[in-house]
Amino acid sequence: MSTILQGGSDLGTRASSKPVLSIKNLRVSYTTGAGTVNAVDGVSLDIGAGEIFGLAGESGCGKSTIANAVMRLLQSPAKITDGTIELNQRNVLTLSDEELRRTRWREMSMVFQSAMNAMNPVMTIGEQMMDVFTTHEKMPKKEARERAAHLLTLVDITPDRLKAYPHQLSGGMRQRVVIAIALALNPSLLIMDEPTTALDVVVQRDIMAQIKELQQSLGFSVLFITHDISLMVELSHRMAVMYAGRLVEVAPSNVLLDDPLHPYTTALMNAFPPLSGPRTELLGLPDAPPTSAGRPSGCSFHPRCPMAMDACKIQDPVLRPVAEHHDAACLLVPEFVIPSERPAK
Amino acid sequence: MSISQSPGQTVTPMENATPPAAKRSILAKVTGRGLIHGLLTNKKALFGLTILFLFVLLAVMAPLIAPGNPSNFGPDVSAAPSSEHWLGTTAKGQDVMALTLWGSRSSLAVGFAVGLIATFIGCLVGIASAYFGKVADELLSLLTNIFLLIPGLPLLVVLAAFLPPGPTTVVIVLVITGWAGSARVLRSQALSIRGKDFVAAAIVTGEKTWRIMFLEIMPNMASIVMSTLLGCIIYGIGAQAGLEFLGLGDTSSVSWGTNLYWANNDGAMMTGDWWVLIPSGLAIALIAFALAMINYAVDEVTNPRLRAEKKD
Amino acid sequence: MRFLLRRLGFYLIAFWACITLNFFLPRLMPGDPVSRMFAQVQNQMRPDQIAALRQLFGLTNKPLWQQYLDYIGNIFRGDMGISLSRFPTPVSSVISSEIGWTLLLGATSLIIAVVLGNLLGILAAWRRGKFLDSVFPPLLVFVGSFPYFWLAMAALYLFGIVLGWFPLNHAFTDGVEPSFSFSYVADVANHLVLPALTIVLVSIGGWMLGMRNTMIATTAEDYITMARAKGLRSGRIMFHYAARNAMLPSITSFGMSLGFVVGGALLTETVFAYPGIGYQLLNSVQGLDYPLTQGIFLTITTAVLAANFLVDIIYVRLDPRVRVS
Repeated sequence: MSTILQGGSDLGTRASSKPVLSIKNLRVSYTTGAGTVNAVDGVSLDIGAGEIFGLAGESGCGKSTIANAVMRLLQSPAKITDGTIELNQRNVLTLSDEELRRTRWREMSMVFQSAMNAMNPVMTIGEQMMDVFTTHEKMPKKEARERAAHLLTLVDITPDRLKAYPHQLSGGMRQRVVIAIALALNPSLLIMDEPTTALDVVVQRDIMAQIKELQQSLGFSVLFITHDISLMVELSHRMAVMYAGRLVEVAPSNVLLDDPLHPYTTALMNAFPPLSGPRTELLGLPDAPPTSAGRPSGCSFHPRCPMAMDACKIQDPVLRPVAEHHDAACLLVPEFVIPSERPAK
Repeated sequence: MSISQSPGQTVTPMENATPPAAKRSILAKVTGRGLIHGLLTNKKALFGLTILFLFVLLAVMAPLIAPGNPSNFGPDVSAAPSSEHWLGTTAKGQDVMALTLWGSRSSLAVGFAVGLIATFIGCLVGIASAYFGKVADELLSLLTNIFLLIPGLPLLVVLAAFLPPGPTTVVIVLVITGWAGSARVLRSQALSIRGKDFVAAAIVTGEKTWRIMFLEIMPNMASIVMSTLLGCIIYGIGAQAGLEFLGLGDTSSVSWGTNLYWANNDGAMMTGDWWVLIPSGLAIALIAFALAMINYAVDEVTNPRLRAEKKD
Repeated sequence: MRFLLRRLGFYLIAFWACITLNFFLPRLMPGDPVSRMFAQVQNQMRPDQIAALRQLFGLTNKPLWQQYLDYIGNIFRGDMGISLSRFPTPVSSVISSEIGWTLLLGATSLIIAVVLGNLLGILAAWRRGKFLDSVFPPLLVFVGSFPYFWLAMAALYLFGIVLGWFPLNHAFTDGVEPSFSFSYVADVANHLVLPALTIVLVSIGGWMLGMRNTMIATTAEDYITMARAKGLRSGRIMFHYAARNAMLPSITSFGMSLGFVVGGALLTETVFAYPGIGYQLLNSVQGLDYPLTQGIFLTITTAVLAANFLVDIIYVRLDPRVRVS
């Protein structure tokens, strides 16, 4: 199981031997009156230094749960029942409250889905930027204000906006402020949970371009979560597709774009028109993803899969290498034996 | 890479942010059966309902348990609780238990009457306000807010001072001072239901206005009407007691409030007759507590977020 | 600014409604209350005073609308008539000599109840299901279920009569000369303890529960999650992020609750014979001193309206969203 991802990535951003984030066999369950449900069901993934890793899937597939699990922000009734999450070789799940508090934002930060809701409505954006510095770096207020002003210019906002309240900014500006706050302490990992869903397409593209620019100059790793696969393909180096709590395909983005192997990935690719180039036919996904309570037998995707075989109803496919740097969990795709792992002799 | 910087989005100010409304509006619509089932399985509700039931039972049975006029003076004056007078006697020799039992009749009757009438008016004003909107809403809301703002007890005192004394006066005065709170809560809830499709459908099909208000809108806010009613009953019982304690009610009747009025007048505290003071006060507190518990249970049943949860 | 002007307009309308109510109440009530009053006081008064009273209550030949205008004119000149029980002191001077005590009692108990209640509510919400959250709310609701006056009597009996810790009535010891000396202030404070305690006990539960519930709703907001993700200390999240937002509805209800506090003060003052305007209001009703009754009612209402306006101003300062950019 742990041979899944050997830090493969494309175009020179090859993950170093020591990944920034390493999730192993993560399992998150929700206990409700109706029973226990695995929202994340045995997910493993590595993100290398300076790598932008995309996590795609429909809403409810568990991708945000992974983000919150990494930040340890899960609230009851969600609970991590199994697995490890290592950030810079330290297990996040065993940190004490105080260690966790110090680690948050300094080593990993997060851009939330809706900037409007993520900002405290009764504090100025300046105050909300400065308290990161005053808390983590014990910085005097004056210096913190200068740092905050500098951060704002980083995302093309004039420093006089420090005195503004969130409601006085446009949606795009708010989201850029949130990004600026996230980068305040130069973290090694930035998690972005649907950072642009609430924005219109033009603003979305501007912001994504800005993130890429900042990423290249600052060198942080990104866990980028979205249901918009075309946006993700443009931004990320490597990506994973998630379905019903599991990863079903992992590959470098360009590989996944050109040669998706899992039928679900194909469907997801077709569900969104690419941002550039000719529009292709929209192949809407039939039905909805399974509510994790009633997981189908065999492959979870088989009831919606256009290519389902009889075996799919019985046999649960595991995620395994299907080509170099390319993993998939589908019975249709034959396993690929990585050359280096061939038995010696 | 510049972005068109549109001016800040407008944010609705505090208009609806007033506390009861804000809290209530979270309450989802829970209709009759679900609510009753929820209440019957809720500990707080069962506790409250049991106490309420006991009180009603005692009030109904008062003539059987303590026959005769409870106000009649007796030979035992200021007697401490004993086997003969379980709760002792007053300075005039009246049996405290008889007074408390008989007092519950008036207190419960006035409380429930005030609660029902005030809630009814509140429903009428609140739903009409939400249903008709525009000028009617402005005017009714203005009226409601004025009544909410005028301090209740002083108004109560002034009204009671000018009206001829008697139980009807008490009820009228309490309704006048008590309806506004419920009207405001019910309006904000009715407003959200007013916007639903089924109301629009009812209007299009030409249903009569009063039918839409009371048969379409009102059943969908059952839990709020319920909790408003409970609040109004609590108010009615407490305010009646207050009014009578001040000697502004009907001092010749027997109620928990008048019991305490006479106790105070007869100097029960100075003579140390604590047993005269405790039963009526405790009775008011218990019934108010019971109703409050049912009220919290209604909140919990309809708003799961408030349900106590244990953090692991 | 527009928000505040709107509120101001509303308070003016409410004030006008109160004056109007005051004007019509004695004139339209059944049972002719004014005649009752005259029957009682007529023979003790000089003819000119009777004439003044007649005018105040509309026993003149002037048409109603003119009486109404005269009445409003008088109110705005601060002329609320002459007290009958304190004859011939004008109502305004009776009120001004006693309102201080009510303000002292009301403000002291309100501030303690609000600060303590909100603090407890914040802590209870922050530590859901822990001791504070599970024991205090039902306990305070139970205490709050007792009528004001009953708790006042219980406090008086227990701490005043049985234990003898605090004085039984009045605002200061008889014969003590009011001054700014320590002994006088201590004496006043000593007399204040029991009445204030009563009001605090009854009202604190409502504050605590209200704050707890809004805090719980607030802690589910994204900005709290983000504040936690930012690695802020929990004290800062609790007060600067959660409580500052949860406080806003509390502030609005603060204005609303002033009316209840006045009512509570009235009952409490009565039990402790505390010389405030609440106690005076009751005395005036019992003494059929209608001018004083009405004057006090109007004063209380005006005070509550003014306090509400003050609360609005504070609200605007605390919630940037209502400040129109």
